[in-house]
Formats: sequence, structure tokens, C-alpha cells
Amino acid sequence: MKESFKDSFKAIGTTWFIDFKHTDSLSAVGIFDSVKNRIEVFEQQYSRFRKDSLVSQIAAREGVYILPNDAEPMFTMYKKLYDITGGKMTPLIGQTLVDAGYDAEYSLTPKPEIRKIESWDSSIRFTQANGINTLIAHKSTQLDFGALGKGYIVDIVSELLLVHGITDFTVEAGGDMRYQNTEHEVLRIGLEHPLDAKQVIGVAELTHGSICGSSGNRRAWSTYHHIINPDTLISPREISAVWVFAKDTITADALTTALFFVDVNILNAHFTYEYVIMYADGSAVISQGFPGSLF
Amino acid sequence: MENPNNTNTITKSIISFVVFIGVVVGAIALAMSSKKDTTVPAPTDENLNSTTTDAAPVSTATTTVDSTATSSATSTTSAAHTYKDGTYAATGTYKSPAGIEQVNISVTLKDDVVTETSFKGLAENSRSINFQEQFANGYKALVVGKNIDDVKLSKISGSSLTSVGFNDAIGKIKDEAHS
Repeated sequence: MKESFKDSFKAIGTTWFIDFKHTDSLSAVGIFDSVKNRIEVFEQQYSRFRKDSLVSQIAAREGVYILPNDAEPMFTMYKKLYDITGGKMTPLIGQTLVDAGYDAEYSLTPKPEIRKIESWDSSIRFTQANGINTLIAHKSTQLDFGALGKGYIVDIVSELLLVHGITDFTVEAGGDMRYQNTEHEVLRIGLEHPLDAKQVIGVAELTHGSICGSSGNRRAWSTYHHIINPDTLISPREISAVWVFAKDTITADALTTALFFVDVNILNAHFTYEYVIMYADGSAVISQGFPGSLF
Repeated sequence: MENPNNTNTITKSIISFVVFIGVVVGAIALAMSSKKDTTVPAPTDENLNSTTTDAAPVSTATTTVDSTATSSATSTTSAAHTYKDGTYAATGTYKSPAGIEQVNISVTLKDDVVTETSFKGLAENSRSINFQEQFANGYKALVVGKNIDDVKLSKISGSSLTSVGFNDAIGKIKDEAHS
């Protein structure tokens, strides 16, 4: 007989909620432990908010770095979207975010000069050969995986659960989530109003897949929010919130940011996804296949 | 001052376009009513059922076609149920001063209630694109928020929950600003 197990904890700067069905309570406890360890390892590697992370080492000095196996999907997705968005979506935005005040100390105080970012090719080169991931940093480079890192670790955790034979689960990190239920129970997810956290503008209904949301009205300081256009060095304001449904969370998370920069028609040629976009004027569009509806 | 002829043309275009929408919706209604007597399998969300209709040139036949379509839809409804649940789509053409233009409209029906509609303009002429876009913009409803407590939900997706560190920092800055 399967039982439900739940846990909630804080990691990588956000609150996690995980629940799953399993037959054995003792193994469930062990699974939660291994999940937390896995997230810890991820943060240790990729967080720019930790001085001891791999990313902080790359920010400190140029060189050749051997990256862990899990680096490849992130770099591949970033490079694909870098090319599609003409360089607007880029992990090289890290230095700009730091200059603007979104730094490891959360100073939220913009520096007098916000540096323009370098191009991908002039800064880094990522290659995979014989299963070895190599990053060449031509100069010290502040990377930031914020546009898809959280979605990616949600996928990693979900796959860890699958490896343990768990088929029914919800993995949520701060409103971004992946869900799977073999009995087709529907998960109802409110789409939070970007201007009023007490309200929702619609509902997504999932039986499987991932939902991520992004809004420019939150995580905002000075004249910025967490997305900055590297060409103009300002944060896009025409769109107030975006939600994306996709089969995995790295895609859903990455496309929420990409939609701040490029039209759906451009992304449609490269990805399978559904979306809700709310504009600054209070109007919204929902794609025809989005699992859910707006009010 | 605006050229009165020009204004007149624009007004005509808008009127004919809006009336045309009525025509296409009417055509969808007709398509649905004819469907209930046939053995065509019920359309599902995955299986779009497409009907093509050639709407009459609007400037001449407009109101007549519109009212006919509406009344036929009404009479079918009053015949005690029912349309088959599903998504019905139609492509229509209409004549604008710039030539023939096309739009796609779809209507999703559940228990005789329209639960969803969508509109896509296919115009190539820039002014027609503009009119179709204006219509589409009004067509997609403005967002209406509902209180979270009034909606049954398991989860919330939004940005207020995303960053513990960031929210803490903002809180601190606000506290400092007050002291």
C-alpha cells in the first residue's frame, strides 16, 4: 500500500515542497536525505551566491575547468537560446547583475558603472568530449545560471525520484514545479497576479509536466528586476509575467525568461511548450494548448 | 483635419470586419447544428474539427447573413440540447477595401456552454493586420484577478515565492528605510 510523504525545506535561496507516494516510510526518509544532498551539491557547483562554488572560481580567474556531468544540459540550453535571442539570454549576464546590485551580499545597490557584457565566444568555450565537460574561460567570467538553473535542479531531483521507482510526485522549488501522477489526479496551480500576491489570474491544471513562472514585478530593486537586457542594460517592462508549461522544467524555466526577449513565433520553431503572457497593460494571452485557463 | 473619405473607409472596414466575425461564429454554429445528426465522431480537444466557410462579401450582405446565422443558432439551442462537446474551428474570408482577408476562429463547447474561444487574423495587408490585431487585442480579455481563497488550489506559481534571500534583503532595506 502506497502512502504519501511530504517534506519542505529551504535550499538554493528558495523554499522547496516535495511530495511523493511510496510503500516504505523508512526508504522515504532516506530518499528525502539524498534529494537534499543532491541539491546541496548542485548549489556548491553553480551558485554565484557562494564564494566557494565552482562558478565563483571561474569568476575569480581564467583557465580550463573540468565541469561535472550535469553541466552539459545547462550549457547546451543556454547556447541554443543565446543564438535564438541574439545574445539577449546569456549566462554571461552574471557580471551585469552583480554590477546592478544583485550580488552575493544582496546589496541591491547599483554600481556607478554597469559593465556591458562580453560575447559568448570571446569569454567562454564549452565542449564535451569522451564524456568530459570542459569549460575554457578566456578571462575571469561571472556566470549566472539563474534563468534555468532552478528548473534544471527540479528535473534532477525528479529524475532521482524516478530512479527510486517513484512514479507519483510533485517537486516544487519556489513556484516552479514538475508533476507526475500515474492515476491522472489533476494538480491545480494558481497563476499568481504579478501585482497582488493575494490574487491569481488563472489556473493551470496538470497531470504531468512542468510549470514555471516569472514576473518582473518581484525581485525588483532600483530600476531593475531579475531579468536584464544585455544590449540596453535595462529590465524589460512590456511584459509583467510569463508562465510556461513544458515536459521538463529546464525548458519551462528557460523559456519564461526567453519570452521576455523574443516573440513566441520565434521560440515556436525550436521548442514544444505552452504559455501565458501577461502584459503591462493588464491584458494577457494564453496559448491554445495551455493546460488551464485565465479568469 | 482628417480626410472624411478616409475616415469613412476606416469606419466601413471596422463595421464590415466586426459583422464578419458574427458571420463566422454563425457559420460555426451552423456547422455544429448539422453535426449532431451525423455519425461524425465527436471532436475532441486534440482532434480539431475544421470547417471552411466562404462568407458573403460583407458590405452588401452583412446584417442579413449575421441575423440568419444567429437565429439558426438560437433555434437549434432551444431544441432541448445539444451540441457535441469539443472544439470547433472555422476559417473565414471577408472582403475589405484592401482585398480578400482571412481569419481563423475556434470555439470550445462543453455542455452547450462556450468555455473558450480563440481568434487569429491572417491578413497580409498592413491596415487589415492592424484592424485584426485591434480586434484580437480586445478579444483577448483583460486579466481579472480572483482572490486566492476563493479558488481551490494545490499550488501557486509566481515570483513572490522564488527567492528567500532576495525577499529577506528587500525586507531589510524596507526596515532600514523606516528607521
